Formats: sequence, structure tokens, C-alpha cells
Amino acid sequence: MPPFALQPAELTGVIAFIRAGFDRTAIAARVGTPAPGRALFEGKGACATCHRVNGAGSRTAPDLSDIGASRTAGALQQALLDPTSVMMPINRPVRIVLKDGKTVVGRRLNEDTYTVQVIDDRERLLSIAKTDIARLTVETASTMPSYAGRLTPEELSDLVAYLLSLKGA
Amino acid sequence: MPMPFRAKVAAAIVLLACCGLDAQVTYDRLLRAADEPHNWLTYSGGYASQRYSQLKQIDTSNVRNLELKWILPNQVFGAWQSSPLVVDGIMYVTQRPNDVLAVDARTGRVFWQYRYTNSPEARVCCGSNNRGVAMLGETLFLATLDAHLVAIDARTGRPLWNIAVGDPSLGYSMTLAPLVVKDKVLVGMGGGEFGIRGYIAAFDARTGKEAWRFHTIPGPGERGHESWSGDAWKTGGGSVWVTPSFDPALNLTYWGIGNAGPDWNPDQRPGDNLFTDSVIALDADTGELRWHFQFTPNDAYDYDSVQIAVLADLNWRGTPTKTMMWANRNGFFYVLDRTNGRFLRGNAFVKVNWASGLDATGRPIQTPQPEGQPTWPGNQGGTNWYSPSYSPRTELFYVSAWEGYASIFRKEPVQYVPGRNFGGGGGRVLTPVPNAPGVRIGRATPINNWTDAVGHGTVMAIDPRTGDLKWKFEQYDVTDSGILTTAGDLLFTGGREGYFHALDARTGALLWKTALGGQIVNGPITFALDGKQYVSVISGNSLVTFALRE
Repeated sequence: MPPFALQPAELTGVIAFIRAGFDRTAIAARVGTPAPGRALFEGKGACATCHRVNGAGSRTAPDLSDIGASRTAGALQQALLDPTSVMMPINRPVRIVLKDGKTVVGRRLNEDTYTVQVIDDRERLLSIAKTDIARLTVETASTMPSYAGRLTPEELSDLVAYLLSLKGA
Repeated sequence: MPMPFRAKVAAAIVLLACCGLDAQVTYDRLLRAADEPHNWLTYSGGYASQRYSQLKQIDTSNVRNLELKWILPNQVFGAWQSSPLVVDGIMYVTQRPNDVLAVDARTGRVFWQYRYTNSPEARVCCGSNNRGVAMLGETLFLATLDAHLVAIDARTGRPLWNIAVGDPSLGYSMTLAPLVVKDKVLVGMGGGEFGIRGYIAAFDARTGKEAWRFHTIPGPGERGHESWSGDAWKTGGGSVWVTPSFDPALNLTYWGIGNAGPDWNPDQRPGDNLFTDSVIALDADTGELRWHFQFTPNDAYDYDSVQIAVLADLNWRGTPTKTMMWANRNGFFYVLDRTNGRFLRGNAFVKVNWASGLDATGRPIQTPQPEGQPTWPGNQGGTNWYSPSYSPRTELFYVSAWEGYASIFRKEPVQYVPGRNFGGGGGRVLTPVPNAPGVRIGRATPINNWTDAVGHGTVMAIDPRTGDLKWKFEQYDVTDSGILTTAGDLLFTGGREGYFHALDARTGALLWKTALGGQIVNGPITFALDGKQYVSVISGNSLVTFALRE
């Protein structure tokens, strides 16, 4: 790696960027206390209704057991306040209406020209031939509710702290 | 127990029949490759590079009866981009990095394997790829990653001669299948990401002695040098990494030339930067430049013109015309007069916004996008090196394209350091949400639930006379697969998903498919033995061969 001729202010900026996990949005987020955050996750926030952590909770939304290893505090806060804005394409909910009239709602795990694989809202792994599908809709809005206004700023910071503490097995 | 004389004679005859000991690939046979469709004698199936076969045992009525005949597993990992030759019952195929295998085309059993050890100085931008060999007489020719040309005895796999064509420590490398014309072996030099000065060279097939060399970036006093400023030409790029086409009547070889160096920063190389992103016509005997046509002057997008020139004689508005068809990485489809390079027509075949169109001479009217805004097509292009096809029966041109795919390009100053990457910026795939996955060079995972948001692959059937899209076959993922068409009015192709598809070449209707699992990043071929037609394709780490059910 070549040496960089950076001014002190530039160097500070680069270090801050690296410390922020290369998060271009650079959102400032307050990090509270994990323990009450966990209580919120399992209680008032009802997060486990859809998400799973270390074997507990639902599988219909992404497993968050190691979310703290790959997200910054700012990104987690953003996901709680405006879930759709940071929803990855791989987590977009799908609604599939089959030709026999049945409807499948779930998360798309994989897709190719002829088939689509989902985990549905009953946590079943389904592989569906596109020839059996009347309509497949990939939602661009997250089904997760925004927690803006539902949690106090302190509660939000505690929840962020709890999520940050989840580093996987 | 000693073998009776009659049995010995019978065994010898069987041996001759089964193993092609009479296999002598003369120049005359190469000239008439289309007339012996039971073989596949050059990278693209013949000098016109139509990747079209006259075989028609497998057709639209029976293709659903294809069944697996044999599989040859590769011994190495990574994209397998090779296109095999088939000569009188023996298949010659390369595998990473520069191995050559001679294979019984009936069974997939290997006769011999030649292993080449590259210099540790070899460096490549985009994987240890090799796309195949050429053959003349009983000799195979292999171009290597460390820029050597090796002649190999086709019966034994023993090297006959090995010559250095370029300096690998400076980023010179070769990945293409060479082309034999008359008594010469023709190759082009890769390394467009390392600030090379590209060239094409011809070698005596018997001795390896260099016959001629043509620099794709002209030096002082050479035609086209005025399109460069200062010393930029010295690191101007102009790589070659797919096999050329050849018109024997005109004695012209046609080469697609790669990007300029540095790839993404045209500010460091003012001017048109000839002959980057061009097709050039070189005299096959002397290497003399006869004409050129530049697709993307002063390229800012890495739009290599490293595509296969597809040659066909068409009735062009009432006049029999020697044409060249070219679907370019820059998103435009061109038809040129291949006698002189004159632009006949062109149009965008995918969404394009780096240019508003082509002028009367075919030159693009460039409309660079503001910094940070997306450019269509994206960095990998509307198409790329994947072999297209032309069927004289349907009179349609077929190409694997990427639709709905854009990049946000950035340029930055870069200093040339010998042997180091000389990119000068890059391209980020336009994605619907920040930090979402984009498409990459090659498949990295079997999971794909996002590319509908960043682009997809399409087989397009284009009428070369009008540029009209006759039909298209869309895939969910992008595709790097070449295309084969046949006199059975079939089109065979693959894609990153690992499906091998047979389409009706006239309508695009899917007639048959099979899930092979691994990405298909090469062009299918077809051949025949004992009256049976076979189709071969490489998927992932397996070379797979099909024929009709008995």
C-alpha cells in the first residue's frame, strides 16, 4: 500500500469513516444500555414476532443473531425509524398468487428464470415453479413498522445497544 | 494369447475409426469448416464466426428428447470459459490456468493432459481464464497467462515449441484461443488494466518464428498516432482477448480491440485514442492495417470492443454486400461493410445514455452523465465477450445482452507503475438501495434474490437489416453465455443460473431446458460421430455432452 499524503483534517475524516464501519450515511446514533434493550426487543417492541435471535423468535423476518457484527449503530437506528429506506433487496417481502387461487406470503430466498424459493409466513421452505404462479409481487415497502414515535429516544438507544451486542455464536 | 492377423487388422481399423489418427487439420479444411459440420475446427466454428452449424439431426421437433451422454469434470475451480475444438472424434479443451486435455468425444474419457506452469510473474485482471486452442496439421496452439505461445503435439500432448510473446511482469497476458490462418498462428495480447501497449502478432506454425506484429496503439509516425496526446500512447491499453474472424477472399483478419488505459479516466489521454474500442482489419500475411472503425472514442466506461466479429454476406438494400455484424459492449448494434469498414447502420439494443445516438458515420454523439449519476449500460456493458451467433436460415443475429443494468462511474488520477493496475477510477453498479448487492464479474453464490433490481440477462434476436428486435428470451440473472445456432433451427445457450436452454431460433420459444447447476460462461458447440449429433456445453466445473435418446 502506498503512503498517503493527507492533511490532518483529512486523516481524521478517514479514521472516523473507518470507525463508522464505512457507513457513507454517517448517521449519528446514541447507544444506550443492552439489557433494557433486550427487554424491549422481547416485550414492548414485539420484535420477536417476526425476528429470531439465538434460537428464539420467528423465522419470517431475517435472523438477527449476528446483526451487531455487520451493522453500525447509525444503520440500526435508521432501520428502526425507517425500515423501508434500508431494506436490502434480498429481504423484500413477496406475495405470490398461485394459479389454483392460493396465496403465499413470505421472504424470497432465491429465484431464477423458472423457479422461486421462499420462506413463508408459516416458516415453511417452499420452492415454486413459475408456471404455477399467476402473480408474483415483490414489495418495495418493508412490512416492519417504524418505531419512530413508538419508542422514546432512550428506549431507541437501548434497543440499538442490544442489537449492537448481537455478534453471533 | 497372440492375436490372429485378421483380428489385428480389424483392431487397427477400429483404432483408426475411434481415435482419429488421420486427423490432419489442413488450412483447406479450416477454409471449409462449415462443410464438415461433424467437426468444430476453430473457436467460433469457422472463419466467419457465425457459431452456426449445418447439423440438423436435433431439431425443433425432437430436441425435448436430448439426454446426457457424458460429463467431464474439471480439476480446478473458477469460471470455465473454454470453447472446445472437435477434430475427427477427439475433443481438445483447455482448463484453468493453461491445461489442455484431449478427450474422446464419444465418452468423455481423457487421452492425455498437458499441464503448463505459468511464470509467477503472470498477472491478470479478471481470473485465470483461457478460452481454448487452435489446431493446424497435428499441432495444437495454446496462448498462456504468462504471454507465451506453446505448440503441442495433438497426439501426445507433448510441447513442440514455446516462445515468449510478451512480458508478464508488465501485465501482458493471453487468454484467447489463437486463430490459424494459412501457415501462421495469430494471437493478441491482453492486459488492458495494467497500462500495456497492446499488440497482435503472427507466428510461423512450424517453428514459432514471429512473422509480423501490429501495435494496437500506434507509435509516433504511425497511422492513428495523432489521436493521442503526449506520452499517453505508451500506456494506452488496446488489449485483445477474444479470437479474431477472417475473410479468406479479402485476406483480412478482424480484431476487436479493448479499452484504453487508464480504463476510466479519459482526462489522462485526450483524443480519440485509436485503436482502442475499435475493430481493425489486418492483412493476414503482413499484419498491415487496411481499415479501422472506432466504436467508442476516448472511452470513459471500459467499453472494450472485445466481441466476436460475425461475418455474413447479406443482400443489403438490393446489393449483395460483405457485412460484419457487431453488438458492442457500449450498447449499440452495428453493421459494417467489411471490405472497407464503412458504417452501414447502427442502433442501441439496450438502454444507452452515454450517447444520444450515432451520426451518419457511426460515430457516437457522446452525452456524459453528471458525476454520481448512472450510465447505461453499466461497466460490463450491453454485452461483452460472449460469442454471438448468426443463422443463415433465419437471417437473424443473436446476442446475450444485459438489460436494466447501469453503473455510476468515477474517474480519478492514476500514475503508471509497471505491472500495477492502471484503472483510474471504476464503476459501481446502480442498486435500488444503498449498499445492496450489485452484479459482479461471474457468479459468486448460488443465492440470487436481488438481480431483478439491478439488471437481467436476455437473448436477443436482431434483424441485421433493420436493427429490429424480432424476439427476446429473458432470464432472471444476467448471462455470460455464448450462443450456438443450428440448421435444425435451434438456438442453444446458458447463463449464470446453470440452465442449458434450447430455443426455437425463429420465435424464441423455449423448447427444452436442463438444470446443470453451474454457471455457463462459454459458447456451446455441436459435432457428430457415426451419424449422431452431439451438443456440448460447460457448466460450472463440468463439460457436459448431450445427444438424442437412443
